[in-house]
Amino acid sequence: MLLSMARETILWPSAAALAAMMLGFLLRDARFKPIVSALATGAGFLVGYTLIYGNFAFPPIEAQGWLPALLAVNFLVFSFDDLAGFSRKIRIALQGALSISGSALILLPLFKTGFPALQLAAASLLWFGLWIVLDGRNGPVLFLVAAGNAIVSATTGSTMLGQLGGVLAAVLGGHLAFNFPKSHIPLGHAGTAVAVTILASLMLIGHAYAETALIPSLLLLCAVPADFLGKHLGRNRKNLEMLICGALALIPVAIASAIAIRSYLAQEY
Amino acid sequence: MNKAIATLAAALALQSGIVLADAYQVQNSSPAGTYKIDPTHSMVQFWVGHMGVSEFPGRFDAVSGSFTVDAAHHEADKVSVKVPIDSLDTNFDKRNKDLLGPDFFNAKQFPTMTFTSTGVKMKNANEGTLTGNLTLHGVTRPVTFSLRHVGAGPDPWGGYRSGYVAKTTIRRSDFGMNYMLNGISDTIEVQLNIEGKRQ
Repeated sequence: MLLSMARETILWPSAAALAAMMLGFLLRDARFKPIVSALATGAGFLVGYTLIYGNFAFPPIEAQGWLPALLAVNFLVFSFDDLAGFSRKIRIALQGALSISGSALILLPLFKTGFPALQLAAASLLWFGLWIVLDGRNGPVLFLVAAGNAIVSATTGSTMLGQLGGVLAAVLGGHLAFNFPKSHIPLGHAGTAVAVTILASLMLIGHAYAETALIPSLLLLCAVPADFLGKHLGRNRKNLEMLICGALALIPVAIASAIAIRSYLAQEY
Repeated sequence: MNKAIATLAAALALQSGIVLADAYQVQNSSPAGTYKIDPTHSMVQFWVGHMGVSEFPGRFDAVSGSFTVDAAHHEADKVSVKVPIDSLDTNFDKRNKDLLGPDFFNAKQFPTMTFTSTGVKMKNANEGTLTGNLTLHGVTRPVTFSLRHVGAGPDPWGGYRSGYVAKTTIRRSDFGMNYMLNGISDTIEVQLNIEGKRQ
């Protein structure tokens, strides 16, 4: 069963993403490369989503059922951004609107028992913040936060959400391997939109419906600004910058993972 | 010594006579009437295959609802059952949490399971089938239970009670619960034990 989980979570999604990246490698027009990169991220995730969850009912019966639709909308909107180039104001407005609507769709089942205003506001704000910080800075930090979220979700919330988080980490890991020795993943605006939508949605579903532990999740979010610090401390030396980013992000991610794993082991099956 | 043995034998004989007189008996009075389900004597139990090696039980402790029985015209009988999903218990907190989360029952999104009958067919006084719509995990599907009437009659507190056992097998994938089908069986045996107090 563990082998089957590994195949669903890591092998097939990363293989699908790598296949899409290979197609992008053959493209001569550099304008389309970020879009193919975004497509590889989305396709890799959807392969894992199909194998693990496999429910494409529309309208969805569960919050996680909104993921394919959210990915498609974000991919289309920000692919246009990568091609045509939105102004900064329009991009931020769209990111804000899609963060709020994504949070609202995921929290929709809770609306039956009242308006979860505080949860909606907090979720939208964190989703938007995550997006703004990570947009255009997609390296090891995004990968580490995704991997940390997979561990925290699987051990303190839901195995399925942990697996879906693992799919995102596997796909981003595939990007890092494909682009090695460069440690920057050329996701573009569309790829960041897809990756952030998956990450923020899974974190929100975990907290709203699976009682995922809050402290480790907040620690994961503390890793996100490592990108800013890395750029400042790296003094324009790309490899040093990415090394610092990775090292700074690894600290909160490792602490969050350790807390989550310790809590899991205390309730051993 | 012989006297003591004789006294003991007499006491045992008297005791066994009392026991025989008080033995548990099924009451066979008419089940006709409208009943409110007694949650303290009703339960939903289920058995699910685990990793291909065992059949593991679980239960829902809070069952409410009502049923109406017309002994002469069973086609008019009605059953309505409501079960809060968070009343689930599998004798281990961590597993309960896993089952109540998005992997399986997703209790926060779908807090109740309901059954509403559409037809009852009795093949004799005590056995038959109960058909109706089961809503679980946000999906409503028709389900047929085998039905057994256990008994009906007065209780010691001046009320009147009747009870049934209904059994069926469902496929969780029919209700959109698709996670980990290779480790936890798709087919689930379900048993509903209900006792109602006549209104």
